Amino acid sequence: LIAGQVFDRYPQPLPLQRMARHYGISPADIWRQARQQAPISQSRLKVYGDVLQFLGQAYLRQRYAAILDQKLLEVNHRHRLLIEGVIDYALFTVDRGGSITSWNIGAERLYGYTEEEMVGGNFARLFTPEDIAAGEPIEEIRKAEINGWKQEGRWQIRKDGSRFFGSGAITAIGEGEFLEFGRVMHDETERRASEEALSQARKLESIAILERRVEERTRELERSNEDLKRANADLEEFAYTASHDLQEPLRNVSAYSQLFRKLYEGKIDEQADEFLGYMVNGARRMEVLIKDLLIYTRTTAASDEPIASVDAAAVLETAIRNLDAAIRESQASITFGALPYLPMAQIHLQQILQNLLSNALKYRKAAEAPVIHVTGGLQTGGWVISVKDNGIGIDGRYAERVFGLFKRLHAPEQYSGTGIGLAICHKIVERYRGRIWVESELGKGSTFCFLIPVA
Amino acid sequence: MAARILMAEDNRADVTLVREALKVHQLACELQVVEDGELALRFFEALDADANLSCPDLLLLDLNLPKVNGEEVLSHLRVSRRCAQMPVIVITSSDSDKDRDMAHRMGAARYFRKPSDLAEFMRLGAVIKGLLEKAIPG
Repeated sequence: LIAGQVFDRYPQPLPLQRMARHYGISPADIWRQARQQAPISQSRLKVYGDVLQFLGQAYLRQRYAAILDQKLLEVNHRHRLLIEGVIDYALFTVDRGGSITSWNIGAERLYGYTEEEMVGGNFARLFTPEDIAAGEPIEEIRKAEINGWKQEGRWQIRKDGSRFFGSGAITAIGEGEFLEFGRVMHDETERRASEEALSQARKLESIAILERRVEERTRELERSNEDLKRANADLEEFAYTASHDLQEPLRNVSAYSQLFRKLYEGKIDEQADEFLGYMVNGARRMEVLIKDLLIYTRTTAASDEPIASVDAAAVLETAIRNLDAAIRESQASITFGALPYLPMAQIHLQQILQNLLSNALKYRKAAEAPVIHVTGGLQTGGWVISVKDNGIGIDGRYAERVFGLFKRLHAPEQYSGTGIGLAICHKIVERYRGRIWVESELGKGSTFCFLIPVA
Repeated sequence: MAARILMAEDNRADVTLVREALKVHQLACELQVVEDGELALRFFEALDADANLSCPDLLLLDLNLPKVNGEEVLSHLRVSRRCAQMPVIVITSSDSDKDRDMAHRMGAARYFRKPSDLAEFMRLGAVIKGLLEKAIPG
């Protein structure tokens, strides 16, 4: 009766229903009879219900435990057969501390230890001394515990001490106090070796290709270096030839025209003396031209001096010292503001400044002492140095022409020189990918400027 | 007794200029000229072979000589039996440091670069005079 009410009102009636069926009582019958009885109090109902619940569960536990045990045994047996049958893979389980709890035939084949030898022992003995020293066995278990699973590929040690490359995984099985780890390992030594051989071969192939490229590039560089050396050697050869072979006959023309004048001047007639004068001057001029040409060619040849940051102010002071005689003779005043450091060989900067100052001193107005001011600063594209004078100036039409080789705007009788100075400046500035120009007006002085790109 | 000078020089114009320089400096000399390096070598070989011949007082040596160049002539001279100590003036149009070093190394007394200016060329007379006075005292 009570049971009927309980069935009806107890919140978890299912085990009781099962029990009723087991004893051949119809639950509907019970409900029917139960409804005819006076209701029992809620508190009593709870007590009876709890008792019945306990009884029911105890019964079920007993009833099903046997079945479950049977099933479990069957499953375990099947698993065991399956696991034992795997001979190409080592399958074994370890507990949290690394103690081996099972060991299959595959493990025996792979590692060489029997089940008797291994169960109860620590799986760390399968690791290399290096891995053991690095704490890898414990780490493997720790990671499997955290992530549930960890892929492994590492060198392992067989019973006979030989090594193989094991590839596989370690998996956490169960939980709580039943936590274990299943470890699966397969010998991948050969595959790994062939993979390594392949990658090694690929590496070697890439290296060979690279080496070939480097060789080709080196050869190219060597070729262009040789070309450069040959060009420089040719230039030196030319310079030597020019200085020696060309000057040699000219020297005779020059010396003999002078000797002729010494012996015969005033002894033939006035015209002969005049012609002789042209010969002597022509030969002298030719000599200066050859010398200047040599300087010009040497300027274009690569300077051995490294391109460094050179103090323009210091170089300008050197140039001024070198021109001391001309400065004093012309009573010139030369001033300069703050000057930058320029990325060029000192000798080149000196050649430019000295040529520009020398021109400013030379092309001065007859009645006025030269006043020269040098300034420098950073402008768009690079450093610009300007040399401003109060000289005779240049007709705008010839502003470009003055930088040409042997280009002159005056007769040699007016202003001496061969027209090499600005050509040298132009050549040097071009070497540094810079430019040189003049801002001038006839009779109003000139400002020569050159730009050296920022390195 | 007039000094004896041997000149190894293929350029006759320069020989004439040297004669002019000697004249300007009033040097009474006997100037013998050989026109190439080979003739210079033969000259010294002949001297070594014949004890009756005497060594010149000075050699004026051009470097750029036909057949055997001045440097070789100088090295042969320095190992000759009788003229090894002979003073030498190298007279050349070369201004190269290499040639200057060589001349110095081979014991040349002077290195005279042939100038194109006549007055400068004439200075060679003074150089020769100075050397001869040192070589033949009194």
